[in-house]
Amino acid sequence: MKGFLYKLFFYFKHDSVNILRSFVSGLGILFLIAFFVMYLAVKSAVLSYISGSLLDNLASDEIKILPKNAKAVEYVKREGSPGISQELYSKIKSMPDFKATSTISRTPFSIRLKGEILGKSRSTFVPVCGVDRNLIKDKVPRWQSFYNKKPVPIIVPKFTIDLMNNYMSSMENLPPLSEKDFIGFPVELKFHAGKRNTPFYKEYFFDGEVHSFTDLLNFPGVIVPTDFLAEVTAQYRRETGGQAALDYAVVYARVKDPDKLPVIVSNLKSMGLKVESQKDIAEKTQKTMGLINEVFFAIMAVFLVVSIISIFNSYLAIVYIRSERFSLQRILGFPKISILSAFILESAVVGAVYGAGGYFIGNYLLSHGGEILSKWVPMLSAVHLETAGADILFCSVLFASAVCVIAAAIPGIFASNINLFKAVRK
Amino acid sequence: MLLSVENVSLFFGKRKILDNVSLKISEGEIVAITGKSGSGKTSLLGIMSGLLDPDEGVVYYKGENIIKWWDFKKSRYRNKEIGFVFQFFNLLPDLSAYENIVYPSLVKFFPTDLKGEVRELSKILGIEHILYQKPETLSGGERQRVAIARAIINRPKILLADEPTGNLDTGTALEIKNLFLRLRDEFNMSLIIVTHDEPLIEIADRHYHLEDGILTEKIIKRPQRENKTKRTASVKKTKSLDKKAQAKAGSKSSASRKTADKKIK
Ligand SMILES: Nc1ncnc2c1ncn2[C@@H]1O[C@H](COP(=O)(O)OP(=O)(O)OP(=O)(O)O)[C@@H](O)[C@H]1O
Ligand SMILES: [Mg+2]
Repeated sequence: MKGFLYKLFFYFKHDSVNILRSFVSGLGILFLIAFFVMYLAVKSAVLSYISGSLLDNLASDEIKILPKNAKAVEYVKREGSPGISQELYSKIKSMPDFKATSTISRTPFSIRLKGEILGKSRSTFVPVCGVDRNLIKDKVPRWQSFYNKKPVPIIVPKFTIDLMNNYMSSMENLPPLSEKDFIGFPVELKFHAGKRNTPFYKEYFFDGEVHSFTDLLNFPGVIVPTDFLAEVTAQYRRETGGQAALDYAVVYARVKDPDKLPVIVSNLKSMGLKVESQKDIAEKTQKTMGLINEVFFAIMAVFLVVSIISIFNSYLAIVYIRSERFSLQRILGFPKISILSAFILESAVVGAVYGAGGYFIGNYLLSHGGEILSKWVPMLSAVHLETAGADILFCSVLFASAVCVIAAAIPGIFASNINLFKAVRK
Repeated sequence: MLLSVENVSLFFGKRKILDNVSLKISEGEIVAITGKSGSGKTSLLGIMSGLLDPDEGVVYYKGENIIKWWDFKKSRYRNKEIGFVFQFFNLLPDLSAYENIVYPSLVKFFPTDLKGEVRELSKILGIEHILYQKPETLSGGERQRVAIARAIINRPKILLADEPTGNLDTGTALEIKNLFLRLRDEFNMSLIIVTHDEPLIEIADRHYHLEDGILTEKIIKRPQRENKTKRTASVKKTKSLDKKAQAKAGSKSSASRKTADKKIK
């Protein structure tokens, strides 16, 4: 034991500079692992965001029908924005190929939401779209009670909880309320229908209440039942004789026979519509993921190559600086294995330290960076960056060690095969 | 027979350095090798220590062909069975004398603690006072003795010495010579010494000369024949004794040799 301790002491006394050198040369591994940990988090966050998104998650027998020329779903009707008219929707609905259809609808009116917080009432224009109940089935809590009734149920994006809490704490220093506390919160909807300063202008007031919160909508506005919007539109037409019609941003349709999909799609296309199926969505998702992968892999590949070269270089320098010593070691009876294993052991330790270090740095950035990010951009709070677990720590340590060992092995082999007679003749 | 070199030839490129060389050494024997610079003496030592493979011929150690050994066994052989004293000392400059001496013992994963061993050896070699100095602060003779201590720390059976007195003055060379005699007498070591020093050749049992790759035995000019019989007797005696007694007996016999040497002069 005493001899072993002496050996350790000996090693640290005479190789500390080399150990330090290896540590400096392997620094890239630290970033590599940190990046890797973050990559995993971003990847899983994006995947779960996409797959969890209410409107993009299609079943295999489901298709998404968009108006012609639509680049993305436009939840709010603007001048000239493409939409599916009611007649067209009736046509689709009456096609014999579909089991069921549901829609995301848009009203031609602008709407103000008015709420009272802490005795002060506030009123703002808010984007509103209509949704059929069966579209949110099982995806939103208490979806059954989402239908056209009084007071009107309203689904609100989750980040508004933070906005409201923020507001209240800045005004009255109140403790934050939970999601549950906000449910049933009364809201007044004010419709501005028709052109102002014309006989066709009319205002409607309705009582509403917060039905639930969700992140599933990729949309910074609120959702109400489609039937409600249709009812208001019809009432306006009846009362003023003005022209106003609900239209649809998307129609989701469930196909009776998925084998007939190609035919159905071409039929819909001939009607001037755009169709996306699960396959298209999968392709889109894959494209996004591919981009993320490419960026991360490019960065990691650069780190990897740089680290390997730098570790390799540093160990090679050690071989040349120490060539006399290695040669003498061999003459004094150190086997090749012992010289090689010294390289391997040392580099494995360096790698393990950096693997663990990189893991913790990556996790630190994830937990703190995520917080900061969601403060700046509330909508991104929906993207949840999860820190890596113990299995990833294990993988990081293993991977970093392996990289360092691979980089150090070749110089180690050089060192162990050094010319035996060099020291004799010197 | 401890070590036997049989019909060994060595080429460097097309140059034949060693031509059908044969050499045998038994336990407790001293062999001297002379030869011009570049005649291949160091190369021959290299072959005997398994550092260099000959192009032809074999080397037997205790009946085993060392050329066929794997690296691991060859390394063990170099570490345990032989000691190598180099022409130019070859101490590691950043290690102290003590660290240089124990260096070969660090081969083992769990090395034995050699503090006592080093103390004992350095007493014999007269280097106790310089153990914690770096080689650069040591004199040539001190360096050579540190190198010898390193070579014999693992108690090898054979010591290979390549011009051990080549860089030393006659006084220090004499000390080294006496040391070699003690090594043989106290540890029953065999010594193969490459040298041009007359006094070192005189203590040898056999003397070989290397020229044009050919090794030939030479007659040693030795005024007193009885030296040899005396030594063999002392070896026989010490073999039966324990280590400490052995050391005592050895120092006596070497002391007697010292006086004998003086007489020669
Ligand atoms: N690797 C090599 N390649 C080519 N020639 C070599 C090599 N090593 C040694 N030699 C040659 O072999 C010859 C013998 O070398 P060696 O070192 O054995 O001589 P030596 O008898 O020990 O000489 P010295 O007394 O000067 O130490 C020399 O002429 C040397 O140039
Ligand atoms: Mg030589």
